[in-house]
Amino acid sequence: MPDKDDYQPLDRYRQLAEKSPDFISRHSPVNLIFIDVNPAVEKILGYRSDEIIGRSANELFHPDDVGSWKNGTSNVTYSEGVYTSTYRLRHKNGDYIWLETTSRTIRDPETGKLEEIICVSRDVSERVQADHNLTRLARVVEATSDLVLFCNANFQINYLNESAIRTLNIDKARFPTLHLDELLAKPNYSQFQRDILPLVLKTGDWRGELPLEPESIEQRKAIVQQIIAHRDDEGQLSYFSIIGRDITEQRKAEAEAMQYQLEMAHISRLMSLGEMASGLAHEINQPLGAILNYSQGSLRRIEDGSIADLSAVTQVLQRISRQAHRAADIIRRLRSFVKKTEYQRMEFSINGVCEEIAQFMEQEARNAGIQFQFRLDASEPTLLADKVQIEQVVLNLIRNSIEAYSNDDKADKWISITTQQTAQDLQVSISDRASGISQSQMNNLFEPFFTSKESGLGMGLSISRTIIEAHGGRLQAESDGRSGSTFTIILPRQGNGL
Amino acid sequence: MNPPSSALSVFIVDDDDAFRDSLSWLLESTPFTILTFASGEAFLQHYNGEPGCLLLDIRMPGISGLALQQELIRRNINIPTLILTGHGDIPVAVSAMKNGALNFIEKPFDDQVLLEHIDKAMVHARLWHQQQNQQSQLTERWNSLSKREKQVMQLVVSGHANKLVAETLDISPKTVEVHRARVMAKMDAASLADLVNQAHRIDALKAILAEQTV
Repeated sequence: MPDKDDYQPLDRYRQLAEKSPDFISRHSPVNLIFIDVNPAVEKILGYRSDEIIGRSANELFHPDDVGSWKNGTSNVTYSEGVYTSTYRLRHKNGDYIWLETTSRTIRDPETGKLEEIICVSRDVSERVQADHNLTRLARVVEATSDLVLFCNANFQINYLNESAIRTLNIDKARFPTLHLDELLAKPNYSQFQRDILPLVLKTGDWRGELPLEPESIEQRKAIVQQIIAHRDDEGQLSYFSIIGRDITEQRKAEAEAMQYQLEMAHISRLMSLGEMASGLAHEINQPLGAILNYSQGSLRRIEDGSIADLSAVTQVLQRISRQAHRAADIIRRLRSFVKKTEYQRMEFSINGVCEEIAQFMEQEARNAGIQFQFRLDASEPTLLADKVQIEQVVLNLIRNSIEAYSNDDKADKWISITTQQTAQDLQVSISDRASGISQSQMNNLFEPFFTSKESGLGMGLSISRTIIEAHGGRLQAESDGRSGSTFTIILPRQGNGL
Repeated sequence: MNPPSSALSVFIVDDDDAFRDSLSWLLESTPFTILTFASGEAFLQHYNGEPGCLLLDIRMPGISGLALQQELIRRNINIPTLILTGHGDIPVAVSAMKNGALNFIEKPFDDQVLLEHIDKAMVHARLWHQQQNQQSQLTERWNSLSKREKQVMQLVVSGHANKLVAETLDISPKTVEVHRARVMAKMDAASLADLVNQAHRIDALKAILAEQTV
């Protein structure tokens, strides 16, 4: 308690305290009962002085902070008789306010008995909030699945987040001395210095794809997607952020999708083959029948002695071998058609593909009384794509056209095969003059298992569209619903996509 | 009356050049004349009712085998036909048999089987040719009869006695006898039964007789 002699200065102190924006309070040592508070309490905690005096500060502590005073946890520091702590008190409206409080204990000078505690507190909610945001931000950077690296202006790496360490398989002890060139393959580092760095410095932000290939990486694939240059207030380059991504799963999924697509194309070919079986049997039996006839005719002549000299036999043997070759060619075409192939991107003539497939389907078309009509682009356009898959699509479309005529007794049946190169793309159209596709059929045309055929599985067009889209193209159908339809494959000239 | 084997032809209709050529080579060892055609149209253009049998590929561009059969039926050409195909397609086989094909042979075939089928077909061909000949002979004889003789024959084969014939035609029975003797001679009939038999095979007369029965 102040003495009367000290009244003057005390009064000034009191005035000072009354005006202070800081919240000043006196507490009894037992239960931290508020003995006295300055008016700032109302601004900070919402209580008038008379509402709070006599209450225990313990009631207002955030439950998580209750122990911190007693236990001396991390947010309480002690220096030269003054404790500083950061903690939360409950505002009258129920919200918790972050306070930074310096407190000093007042002891009886003789007995050393703790008499009271004086606290000066200020609202540090904003600062705490900002600290929290920073902490959260740091946590996000640490926890994100993207790879985050910071490096200085000399590309010395000084931070890698958890993902980067894991994906790049970096020994944590290494990274004070880790340099960016250790994370990139030589040609890529050269490319970075030559092409990318100038862009980063110029625009402050580069986005693209640059493979990360440190020696330590094991069975994972990662790329840099973004590099940001950070500058200080004077515009001096201070550091770079490098953001990358582990694309192992993505690549795996892509590879799986491609594999799946190959399987589908293969199945589709087998299905096509099944549907063509009767035509193929006929086609193979022709040369076999001819061989049999030639040889049996020769045997008969030899038996009845009507062959005198070898020249007659020679001629027939030549014909026999020609027919055997013909049969072998059919088998060879068949085998290469059903062969399971890896994805193979190559440059090939689209006209050539159209002609080969038409030849393959020739017998089937002839049996149905259909003729092919070619209108092929004379500039002999080439395509960079998977030839086997493109062949499959052309084959599916030609088969569909042949089958479109199956209930058609027109005398003049033709299928026209057109190729045309434009500035942007390459188009292949297969047209027929059969009865067309109705509007309702058109809506479901490309759905799997949709079919208008008695024996069709309904996968042909669905697979065809998948294949063409995987090549960055489109497959379109047009029909007036009465007198024919046209299917057009449109592929970008540079063979984008897979 | 039977044509010799060399007068019988095997007509091969197949669009496959090699197959046609080989079949012709095989059959050249037979006594028959071998004629090949690359399409149904070519065969129809050429064929003039010569005796023989037809080896017909069922799957061809243009006129299919089945369509050719129907065209032959329409033209009243009864040539024994063997269907050849590289493909044992049952519905097509059934249709071909319904169209009157003798048999169905799948390519490639054993020469022995084919030759047996051709021999059987040639039996039909001979029979058909024989009937054809008889028919034309009969028609020729019938056409050689005078109008009166035709009337007399018609009544006689319907079972009328000379007297009734005379009354019907309002001529004397004696005259009827003269006509009747001439009819027997011109028709080369050994007996009345023979004449009746012949009458039923003459198309022109068949219709008239059928009308009278009704």
